[in-house]
Amino acid sequence: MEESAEVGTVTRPPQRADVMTGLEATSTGLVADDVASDRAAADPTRVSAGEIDRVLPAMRGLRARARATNLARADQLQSALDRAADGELDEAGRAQAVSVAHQLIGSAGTFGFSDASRRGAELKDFFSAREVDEDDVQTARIRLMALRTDLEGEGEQDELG
Amino acid sequence: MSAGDPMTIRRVLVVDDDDHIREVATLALEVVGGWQVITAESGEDAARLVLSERPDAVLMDVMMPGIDGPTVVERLRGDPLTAGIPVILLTAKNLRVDPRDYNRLQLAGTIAKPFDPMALAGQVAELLGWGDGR
Repeated sequence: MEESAEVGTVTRPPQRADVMTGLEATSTGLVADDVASDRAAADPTRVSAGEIDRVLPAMRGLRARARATNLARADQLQSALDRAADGELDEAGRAQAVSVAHQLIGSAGTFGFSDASRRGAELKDFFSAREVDEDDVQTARIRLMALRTDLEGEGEQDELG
Repeated sequence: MSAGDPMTIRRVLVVDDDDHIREVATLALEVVGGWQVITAESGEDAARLVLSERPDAVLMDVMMPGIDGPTVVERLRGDPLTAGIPVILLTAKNLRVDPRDYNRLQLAGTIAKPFDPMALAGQVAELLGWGDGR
C-alpha cells in the first residue's frame, strides 16, 4: 500500500486507472420504483432531489448516533493518551488505540466531521509510533481537543445537516 | 438472480465492523442505488454470507478485527463458487492498494473511506459497469 491524499477517491484496477470523486460519479440504469422517475428526469450522473429527500431524514438520525459513538471513541483515545503520557500504554493498549482511531477516521469523515476525521488520522499516527516524546504527547492532546470540538459542533453545514 | 440480468434487483454485500458505516452504506445503496443490501460485520461473517447468499458484488472494508478484507477476498478467489464475484475494497483515505494486489485479488476497484454517502451508489455502479440496468 502507498500514500494517497484524496478523500472519497474511487480507484479502478490499474489497467483502466483513473480517478473520480463525489457526485461526478455516474450511476445510471433502470430503476424498479418511484426513484426511477426522479432519476430518469434528471441528469443521470447526479443524485436527484427525490433521492436526497428520501435519504436525508434517516441520514440525520444516523449522523447523530455516529457522533455519539465517535465522542465515546474520543474518550477511549483520551484514556490511552493519558496512559501514554504516564508511560503506561502497553502494546495491546497501543494497538487498541490505533484501531479506535481508525474507526473514528472513517466514521467521522463519512458523517461530515472532516476535521475530526483529519485529527483522528493524526492521532492514529501518534499511537502507531513506537517511540513518542513529551512534545508528541502534548501535540496529541491538542489534536484530541480539536477532534472533540469538531464532533461537538455541527461539522460541515452540508445536506446532511 | 444474475448480475448480468437487468430485470433483477442486484444484491450487494456490505462488510464493515462499524455499525454506522454499514447502516449508512445500506441506506445509500438501497435508496439511491435501488439495490438489495445484506451486511456482515466481520470477515468471518462475510465469507459465510458470500457462500450462502451469492451476492452480485461485495463492498468490503480492509481493516477489521479477525480476518481482514484482503484475506477474505483471497479465500473467495480460491473457491470456484465465489471466485467470480466482484469485490470493491473500502480503503483508508491515505492508503492506495498496490497494483500487484489488484491483480492478485482481482479487485473491481477501491473506494476511499471516508466516503460521500450520496455518491456511493454511483461510485459502485461505475466501478462495476452497472450503468446498463439493475
